[in-house]
Amino acid sequence: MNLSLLIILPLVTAMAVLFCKGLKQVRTVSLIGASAQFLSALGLLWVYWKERAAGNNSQFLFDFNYTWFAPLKIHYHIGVDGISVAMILLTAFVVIAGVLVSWTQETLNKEFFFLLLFLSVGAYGYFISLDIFTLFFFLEVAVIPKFLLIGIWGSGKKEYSAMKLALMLMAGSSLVLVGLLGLYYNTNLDGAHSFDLVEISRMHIDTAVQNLFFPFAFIGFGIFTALFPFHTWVPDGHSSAPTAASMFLAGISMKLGGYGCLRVATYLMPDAAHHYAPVIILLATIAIIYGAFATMMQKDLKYINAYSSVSHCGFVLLGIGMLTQTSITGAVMQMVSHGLMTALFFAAIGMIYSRTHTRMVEQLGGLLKVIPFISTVFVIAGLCSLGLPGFSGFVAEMTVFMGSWQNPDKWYRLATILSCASIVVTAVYILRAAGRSLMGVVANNQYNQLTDATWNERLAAGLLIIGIVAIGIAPFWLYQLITPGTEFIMQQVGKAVSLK
Amino acid sequence: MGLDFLILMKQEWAVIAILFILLFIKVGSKEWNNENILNLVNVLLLANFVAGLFGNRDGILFNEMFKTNQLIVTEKNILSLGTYIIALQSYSWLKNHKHVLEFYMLLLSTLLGMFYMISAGNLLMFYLGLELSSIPLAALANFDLEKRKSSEAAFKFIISSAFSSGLLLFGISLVYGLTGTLTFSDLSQHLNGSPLQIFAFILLIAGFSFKISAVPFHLWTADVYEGSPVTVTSYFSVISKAAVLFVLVTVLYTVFKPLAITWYNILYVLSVLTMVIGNLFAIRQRNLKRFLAFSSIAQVGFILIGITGSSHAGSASVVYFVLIYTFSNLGAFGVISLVSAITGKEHIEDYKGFYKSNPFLSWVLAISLFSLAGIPPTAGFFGKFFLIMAGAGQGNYLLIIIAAINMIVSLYYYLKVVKAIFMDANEHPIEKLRIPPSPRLAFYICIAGILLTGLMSYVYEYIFSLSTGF
Amino acid sequence: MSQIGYMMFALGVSKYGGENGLGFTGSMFHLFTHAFFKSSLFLGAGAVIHLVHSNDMRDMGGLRKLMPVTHIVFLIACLAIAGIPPFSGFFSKEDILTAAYHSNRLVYTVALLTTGLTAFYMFRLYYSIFWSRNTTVQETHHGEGTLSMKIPLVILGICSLLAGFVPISKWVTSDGAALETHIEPGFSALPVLLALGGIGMATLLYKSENTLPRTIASLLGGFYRTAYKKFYIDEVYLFITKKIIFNGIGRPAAWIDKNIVDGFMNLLANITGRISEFIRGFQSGKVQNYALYFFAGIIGLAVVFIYLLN
Repeated sequence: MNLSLLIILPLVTAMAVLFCKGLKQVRTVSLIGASAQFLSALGLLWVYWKERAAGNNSQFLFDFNYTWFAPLKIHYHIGVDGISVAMILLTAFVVIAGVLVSWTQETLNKEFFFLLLFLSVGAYGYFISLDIFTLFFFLEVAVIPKFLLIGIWGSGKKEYSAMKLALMLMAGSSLVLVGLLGLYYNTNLDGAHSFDLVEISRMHIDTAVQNLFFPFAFIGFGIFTALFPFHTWVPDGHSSAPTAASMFLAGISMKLGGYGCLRVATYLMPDAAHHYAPVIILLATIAIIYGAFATMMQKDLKYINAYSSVSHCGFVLLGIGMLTQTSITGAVMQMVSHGLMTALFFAAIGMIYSRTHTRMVEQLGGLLKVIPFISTVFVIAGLCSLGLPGFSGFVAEMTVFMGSWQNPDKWYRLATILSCASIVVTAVYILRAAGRSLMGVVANNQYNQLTDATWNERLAAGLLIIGIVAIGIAPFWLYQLITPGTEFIMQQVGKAVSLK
Repeated sequence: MGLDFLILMKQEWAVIAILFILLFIKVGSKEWNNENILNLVNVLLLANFVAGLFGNRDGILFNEMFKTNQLIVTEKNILSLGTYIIALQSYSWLKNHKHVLEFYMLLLSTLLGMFYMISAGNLLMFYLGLELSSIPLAALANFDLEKRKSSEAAFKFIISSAFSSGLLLFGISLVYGLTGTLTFSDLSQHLNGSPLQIFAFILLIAGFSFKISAVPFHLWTADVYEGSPVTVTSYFSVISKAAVLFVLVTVLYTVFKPLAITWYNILYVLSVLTMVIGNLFAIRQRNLKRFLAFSSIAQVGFILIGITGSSHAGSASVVYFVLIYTFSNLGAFGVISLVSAITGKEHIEDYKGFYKSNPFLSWVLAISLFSLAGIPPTAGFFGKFFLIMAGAGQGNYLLIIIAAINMIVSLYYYLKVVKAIFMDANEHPIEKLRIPPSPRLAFYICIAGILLTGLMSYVYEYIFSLSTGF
Repeated sequence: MSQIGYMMFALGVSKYGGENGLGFTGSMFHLFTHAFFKSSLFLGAGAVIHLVHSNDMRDMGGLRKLMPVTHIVFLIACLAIAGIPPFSGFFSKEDILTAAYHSNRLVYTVALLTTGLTAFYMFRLYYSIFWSRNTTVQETHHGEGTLSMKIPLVILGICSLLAGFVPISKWVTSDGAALETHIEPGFSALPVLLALGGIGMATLLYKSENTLPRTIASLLGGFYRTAYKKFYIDEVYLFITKKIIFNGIGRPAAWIDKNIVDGFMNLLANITGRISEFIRGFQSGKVQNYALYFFAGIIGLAVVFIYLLN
């Protein structure tokens, strides 16, 4: 399968959108494009399985290498392993759901859908890149559309949030830039340097160099995935963004960071990953607990979900920091699960907001009686978030905990226990939010006239729920998909240990 | 020698020919109307650019006073292209101007001066070219004849320029006194890094820095940029700067190679100062021209990082970045020039709600600014990445970190303009502007340049193959 | 809740393997029987609530005539939970008590007393719903409920009655080997008597409306109030969540995030702005100053690179 298709499809759709007239055409074209992406992502999963079943054990499948900037040894090198396939699937789910919930986006619809689709170009490109220049390129491609999406179509203090998000993410990518260049100039491939992920992973980078540049890369990517204390763009950014942008932001964009931490920082600099593991775990634990407590005090539904994302993304970093096979697999599962769950959550919040024009918990109430479908979606997302078995959140978090526990260090175990305990806090804020806004008496007489979800909203929510339940009930397929990828990472990490 | 001097100096001859054509029209009895002149000039400049692309040879003329090679030709072509774009953009402004012919004659004289400067094989020749390119610029800065600010800008420029030229000349005379030669190829053998040589070198660097407005030799920039007509400002900030940068790279990489450690450190200091001060000033600017002036100072800081790379990739990246910078900055200036010519508005506040009335211009401005900020997929990303990458080759990561921080700051103020255009509401936005065909063409060229020069890697590969390295 | 406690404590007194595994088996057995009588109780309560539209016991009373089926099932379930033979609870409780007896006398005593207490409170419930004063609920538009409500009730009632005869000790044991259990009438008498005592007391107090309960309540004073408030456990929880977690941790965390962590990010931006404001003065607009800076730049570079670095 030609992986470039994943970049070309959204790009072509985005271009086609520019030539459309009127909302009807724009959204139809976008939906066709998003469905095509969705199908090709499913197709990718299918051919990937087939290839693996046929006994292809190479690390990356569908490898394609084109020399881009020959004098600088920059290649357009793409390929996928199970981790990337999982992330691509996630992206496809979120994109199609995002297009569906924006179905009635009246103002500047052409630009809106263009930017959404353009953002997905960045995400797909990022997940298939095997050259760290290309990867960095796509990482930055995804920044500015977010700025515009929030700033133009957002609500509240949108300009402030948009600017903050853009600057903090740019700060992240600047750090990544330093890290990548440091790595690049310390590679030695027959006297030349290399950006190629596979090639770098085969050579041994000096430990001192790794220790110097690992923090740049890790914190840089970490900012994207709400690493404490660089997470402050998350609440403001998510809460100001329009629904689809929040979904993309939390569902896709935050995953770029986690993926980068894993694929670039940890995989290419395993010695340093060991060296800095205590710091990572400390920060992740703080993010988990502190994020959960901070969430408890939020009154705005979007803030609740945004802060809880800080807490949930902490599990991703925790899993990566623990450096065991299971914990890293769990981290990837958590990325997928959180992506789907939080997209669903934001979709539900958006649906509520578009009807009631408020997101304040105390102004809502009794919604279950007037808009049962949306409320149910909300509850499902909430239950997934608090880790109820049967939904993906439980599977992912459980895997992270199990993996973390395998690390015998007693302080790490303490971190695991504390993180585990945070689930209680999660339950508190989720149930409180759900209870106050959905149960009880209808808070406002006008709410009685509200209409329940339209077909597009039902479809969007349905797709995401299918994803969540598919992972929650049958996690093995995802586990098996990811495991070969994490095994390669563990080999790398294991090599680092044996060298010590 | 034979006809060599005709062929090797082909590009100069072309400019001279255009100058004469314009002169004949001026002295001729027939009254031309402005639009015809403008169209004619545009066609001639296009022809000049196209002619520059073909039939070039390497060679040396007049006792190494004049040299040319593929890289120099390419550099001149970049300048020609930039001048062509500026000519297209100035259409709205010059349409009703009384002295169109004079404007272009002055403009082309400076272009000619830059060509000679780039091709110079001798410090004196370089100085000659430099002066030919700056003195007419002062006259151009004064071209908004009714505006006092314009005259002020011209006056400030000529005074500062004279000051810097004086010191530059002082430096050149010191070099001559110490080495007994001014020819580039001989000079490098006589350089040994003695204190007086370093002092002379610092004077030369100061002269260059004045032209490319590196801090602390940049102070004239803001006032002159603000006062001059927008077209002239864009010429200042792109073409004039680009020419000096080209020479700077060549001179440092070949002539002053023996002093490499010294100039590396000097450029290190200058680039940090330039980035930081340029950015800090740019944050506060309300006037778009002034804003772009300071942002272009900061850009020079990044270019200096590329130069410090002292490698093949370094010199290639600088030329490549200048090409991209030409497209990006001219794209931005083009919009400002058009708006300023029709409405007279130049402040960031005036651009609030601009997107509602002028979506096309807004996108052009936004894409240009993104490119300046180094956001992919615009070419600016590649340009900046390669500059920083070249700089990182020296292993000085502190410089790279400072550059990275400055990229964030610069993103802030570029996005501030984008915010005004797209997000801020305005009761009386700039009305819908009609874009005449030639500026429209210029916008298309800029946008195409911004989108393609980065993604199409062979532009970089071509420049890389031409540059000689360190 | 108290029954779950029973099971847990049975697990606790259990040892692994053979006869000693009786606690484990008993626990599982009780879990099994408990499922039936507890669901009968809940379903019955549900049916009652459906009828009277309230779940406050004070609104109920004398319902035995209005809902005969529910009444019978509820009664069976209560007898089962009280551990009266031959209802299912008797058998499973028996196992647990035997295990406790062999393990620890103190525990056994406590368990024994609880048996009485359970019987007492279950029958208090039973009487106040179905006996007590005459019904306050007038003829409602629907009777006891549809057939679909009654059938499950009946099934569960039958199960509560018979589940004790299932030879579960043969199937579920701690080590997989079947375990013979037998009823020793001597041993069983005590818990059954206690349970009957509990029932008797409940009958005395609650069968018909009278002032006796209030008198006793006032006699017991503080203990009654504490029990009435569920031993204040809910209050403690509420205190911990509301006061300590919300105010003590959540609010500071949110505050720190907004003011310190985020404040730091904003501070960085503000400092940049301040410096920018500060250095504005250098751009004075006077050419003579510009020349001065120019010259200073040259001197500065010269000093640094000729004298300091050379």
